[in-house]
Amino acid sequence: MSEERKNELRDERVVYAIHRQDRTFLPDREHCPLCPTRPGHEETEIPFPAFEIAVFENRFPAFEAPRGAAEVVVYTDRHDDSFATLAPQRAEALMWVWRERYEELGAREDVEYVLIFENRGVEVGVTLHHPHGQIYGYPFLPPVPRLELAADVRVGGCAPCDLLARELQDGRRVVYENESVVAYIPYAARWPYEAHVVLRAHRPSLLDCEAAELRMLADGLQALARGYDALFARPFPYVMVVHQAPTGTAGANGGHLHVEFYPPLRTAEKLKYLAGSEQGAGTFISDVLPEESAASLREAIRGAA
Amino acid sequence: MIFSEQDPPAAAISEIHEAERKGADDPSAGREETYGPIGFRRYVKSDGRALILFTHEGFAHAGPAEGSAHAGPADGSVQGGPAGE
Repeated sequence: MSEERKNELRDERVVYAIHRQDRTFLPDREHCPLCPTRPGHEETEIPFPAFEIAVFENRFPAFEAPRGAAEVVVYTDRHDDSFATLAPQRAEALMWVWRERYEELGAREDVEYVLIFENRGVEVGVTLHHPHGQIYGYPFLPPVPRLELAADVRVGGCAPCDLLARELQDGRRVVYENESVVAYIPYAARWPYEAHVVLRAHRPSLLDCEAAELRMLADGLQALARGYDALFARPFPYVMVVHQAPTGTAGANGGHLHVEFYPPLRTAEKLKYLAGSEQGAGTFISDVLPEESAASLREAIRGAA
Repeated sequence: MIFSEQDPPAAAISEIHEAERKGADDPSAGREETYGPIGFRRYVKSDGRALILFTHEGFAHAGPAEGSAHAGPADGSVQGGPAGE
């Protein structure tokens, strides 16, 4: 069981999950715990010879009942695939899986916030290469969604709706659009190639989306992920996070579904590190203007389509 | 359905049969459930952790968003395995 402590200076909680120190770390593909179980071989996390999408409780959970949840979402039984290379039907099905888990976990009394995310690449600390994401059910409202709710108050309405309108009006940082979603590098992006994929209509969560919107969301996310891979002609590391309405009592009326990508690369070989200013002062110093990175990313998305 | 037609390894069979046995007391446990255009089944791993296998092949795409037929327990607990095949 994890232990939560309050950091008074930062007004935030720190979770100590010391059992995670021993979690599986970059095994070779013969010992991948997320591959299907082959007859005559060691049993993996999924004791079936084939599967489409699998969700299971994390063996090394940061949160677990009765204070939260931690799940693993395996996108495919094909070890060498990625979110970008999933068949469109599979990516669309994944949106429904996310929706189902958000609904079930969000209904629990010990879950205040459901965070769906993917860490891709060793640069962001991935420990298993098999394409997968994770879901955390936080027993408290974490700082980022709390700040998003505060932004709504400042704006006097839905802040993501307001920001989307401004980005569409400006247009220089928009990198992809379809009927239901818009992808752009934010005016004040922290990361050189940070991108947000935002529902055009005000949808607090996946539960509020029409089926066609979920399909378009999958299309938009995959277009962006393929563009990232094309940008520097290499698998592009990123952290992908689904932002949506809190499920607990705090902020139950807030939220606007959008997906944020935080890629650590600033060039094909150079990483953006969180150093003195970012960690000590909380101020990001970026080497690239969002308008410039948007132009190259937009071209990469177009070329990868 | 891919999984229902293929045998899991022997080590997993006993746990899944056990889950089936437990699920027999609860007719809602372990059945093929649907959620919009996808289907899923719940299992219990030998260490007690929940496993859910989702499928979309064989299900119509782009079902109505409000077409949820979710039957899971509110606390997320897993009651049984693939009963009702």
